[in-house]
Amino acid sequence: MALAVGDNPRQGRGVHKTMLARIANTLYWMGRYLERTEHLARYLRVQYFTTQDAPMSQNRHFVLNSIVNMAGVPWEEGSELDEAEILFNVALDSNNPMSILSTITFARENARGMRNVISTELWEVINKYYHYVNNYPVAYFKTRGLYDFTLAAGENCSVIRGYVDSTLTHNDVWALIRLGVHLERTAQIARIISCKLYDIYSLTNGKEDMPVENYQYTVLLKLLESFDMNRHHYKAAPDRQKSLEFLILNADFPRSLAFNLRQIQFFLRKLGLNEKTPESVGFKVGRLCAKYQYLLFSEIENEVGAFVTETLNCVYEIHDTLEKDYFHV
Amino acid sequence: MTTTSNLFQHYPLNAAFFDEVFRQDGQVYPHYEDIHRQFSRLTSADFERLNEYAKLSFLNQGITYAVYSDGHKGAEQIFPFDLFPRVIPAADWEMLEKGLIQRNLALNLFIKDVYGERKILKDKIVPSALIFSSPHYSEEMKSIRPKNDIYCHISGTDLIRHSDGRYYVLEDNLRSPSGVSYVLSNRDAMKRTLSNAFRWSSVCSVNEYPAELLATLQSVAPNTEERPTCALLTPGTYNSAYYEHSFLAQTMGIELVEGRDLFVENNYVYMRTIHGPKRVDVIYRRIDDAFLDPLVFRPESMLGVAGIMGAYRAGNITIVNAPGTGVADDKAVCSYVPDMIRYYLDEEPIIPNVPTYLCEREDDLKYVLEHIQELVIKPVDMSGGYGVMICDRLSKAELEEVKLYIQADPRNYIAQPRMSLSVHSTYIEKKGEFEPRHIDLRTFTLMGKERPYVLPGGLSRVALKEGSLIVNSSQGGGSKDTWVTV
Repeated sequence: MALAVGDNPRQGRGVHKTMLARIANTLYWMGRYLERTEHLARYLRVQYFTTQDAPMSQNRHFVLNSIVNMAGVPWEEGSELDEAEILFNVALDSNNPMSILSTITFARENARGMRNVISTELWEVINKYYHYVNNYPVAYFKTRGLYDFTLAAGENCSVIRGYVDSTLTHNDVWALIRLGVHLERTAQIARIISCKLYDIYSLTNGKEDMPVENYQYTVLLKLLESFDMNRHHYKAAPDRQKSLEFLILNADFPRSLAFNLRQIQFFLRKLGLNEKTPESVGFKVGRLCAKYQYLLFSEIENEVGAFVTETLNCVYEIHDTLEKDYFHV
Repeated sequence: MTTTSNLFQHYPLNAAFFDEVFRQDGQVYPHYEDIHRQFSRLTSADFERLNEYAKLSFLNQGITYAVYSDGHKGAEQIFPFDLFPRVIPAADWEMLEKGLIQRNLALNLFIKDVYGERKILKDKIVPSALIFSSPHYSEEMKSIRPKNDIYCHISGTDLIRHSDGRYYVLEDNLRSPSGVSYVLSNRDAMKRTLSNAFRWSSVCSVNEYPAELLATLQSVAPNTEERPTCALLTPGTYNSAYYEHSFLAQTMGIELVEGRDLFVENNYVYMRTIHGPKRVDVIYRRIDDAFLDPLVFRPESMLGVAGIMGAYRAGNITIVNAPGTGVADDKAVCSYVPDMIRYYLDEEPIIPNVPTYLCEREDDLKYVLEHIQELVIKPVDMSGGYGVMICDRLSKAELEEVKLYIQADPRNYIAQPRMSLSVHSTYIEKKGEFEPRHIDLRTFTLMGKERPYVLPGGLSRVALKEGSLIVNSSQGGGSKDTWVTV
């Protein structure tokens, strides 16, 4: 975006409250990082504990593999997977830039860089969450602390989101954090669905195996804390169609792709960034939302993996456009 | 009341120093009676619990600094805070407030004079050589007249109390004095930890400071029809005072900007926002003069804003404090402030200076070299307690070395008698009880268009090491809440 002001010194006295581009970027990323830590923690916990009593070949190795894939742990293909090491790496390893510790550290650094625009109360809960993770005893975590740690991480994220919504004026600051939250959530839901589809493929070798599949679709719902609401919605045990349709297209469930895309659109409009040129971020988001709004699951049933990947790529493109047009002016 | 209770049972009294809390006979001064009574009722265990709670309060507020010595994991430390508040009686404060306003008015007139008519130099009250040899003298400011003739909007004056019980000015800080955020955070921590203490005493509030600061900034804005836009310019999150920058921006409700957030076009300063450029009228900058504008000062500066001095010269932005104010907070210039007060205000100084010997004066240099063992030697333009030499602690050989330094560059050194900073009861964690420690007081004065404002109290800094006179946080100092009684 051009920043030419021309000869008129009165320009730049507009009605919008000031939102520095650098701060906008920081707020947006804080939202993204916070949301990311929650998904990482939940994936770790649910995947690890729900499959402990899983039937048949759904063994430890499979679980660890799934965690490695989702969390993007740099692990050599084919090498022995060390459980304690992997769990530590995903959660508390400061050398892994994708770990929960690194992510909350980034989120807190971002918050620190713009404390003046957020509430003291919000800053303190973010800071407390950081200290909780940073001071968590590593030895305890590796032996017995996984459940406790990951649950507390999720709770902290909920508390922080509560403070975002209830202690900030619902202005640009708030909208940018929420924009980051929903964009990250969209990406994480898409990644979790993709990972699970890959898990199922590798468990069944592409052959039909209903019990294994249905069990994994239940895990998928639990990974997004959507199992109960899914049952309420369909009044039937989950299967492939019910779980994927729910997580992709249900516009009322807050951990579905359709819901979060609508939120992204809402917050962009709130920020006044919804220009209509085809290159604009508003146009890109609107187009994707429109597609989701009138889509039937039967239309994507045979290519869910590809469809979800396509959505993920669109989300990345939306992110790139935001950075280029608004954050790095 | 005597000093027999638990936390005070070994409290030593030393006639060489003024103890703020206890008289030499062990009696407590009247303005400390309430708070002392409360502490006397506590056991070590009680107090330890309160102390831990206060620390947690700082940790959760994020008032910490990172320590990188133990590898990459940034263990965070809080700045040491002592729960025993320093109490200043209303009558003392009334005198100090008057004295601080007087001093800062004179300093502002002096800076205006230096960059204007130079009457005080022509009248030989202050030697010209002292001014033009100062690294903080700014040739640039000769052609610039700041709004309302205010150069030094925010100043930090350091006071001490000598063994005679009198207050003295140790030095002036006229560039970007820091520490005020700790005054407010310390008060917050006190309220969270020892809320009872406030029930017994009437203490002046310090919470007005951000509003007063904002009013000061707005009062010196260039002429605009709209409400002026103010911003605080910080070097960034890695600066050691970053916490304070963000704290002040937050509490004033103004933008905290870095150099890269600003640009200048047609001599107006703008912020880069997601909705396009937005004009700025007043910059409270917390970066040094040298980094302000790469076009005028250091060309390699990444922290500043290219063209901002042009906008300043055109009267389209106010820079707070004005560039070049450092010319008056040089420790050698400091010794002339009493003369400035007499010259510009025709008044006698209310708060005396610590007697100062300027090594560049022949007589003074002679005295310094002869009496070096009784003196404290300071470089004129260093802050943070760096480079200070307390000569009675040096060996013969070291003293000779110091003499050589001074003789090589007399302009760079001043000497002061070793002032006995007063002591104050301070909780010593290792011992689980109170002991006397040396303190000073950094005060904060605001000079806007309407009227001056002095923050009641200020930052009482305490040297936590036994016997140490260096109160700076970078060298093992802590701080206390400071109460001015109503």
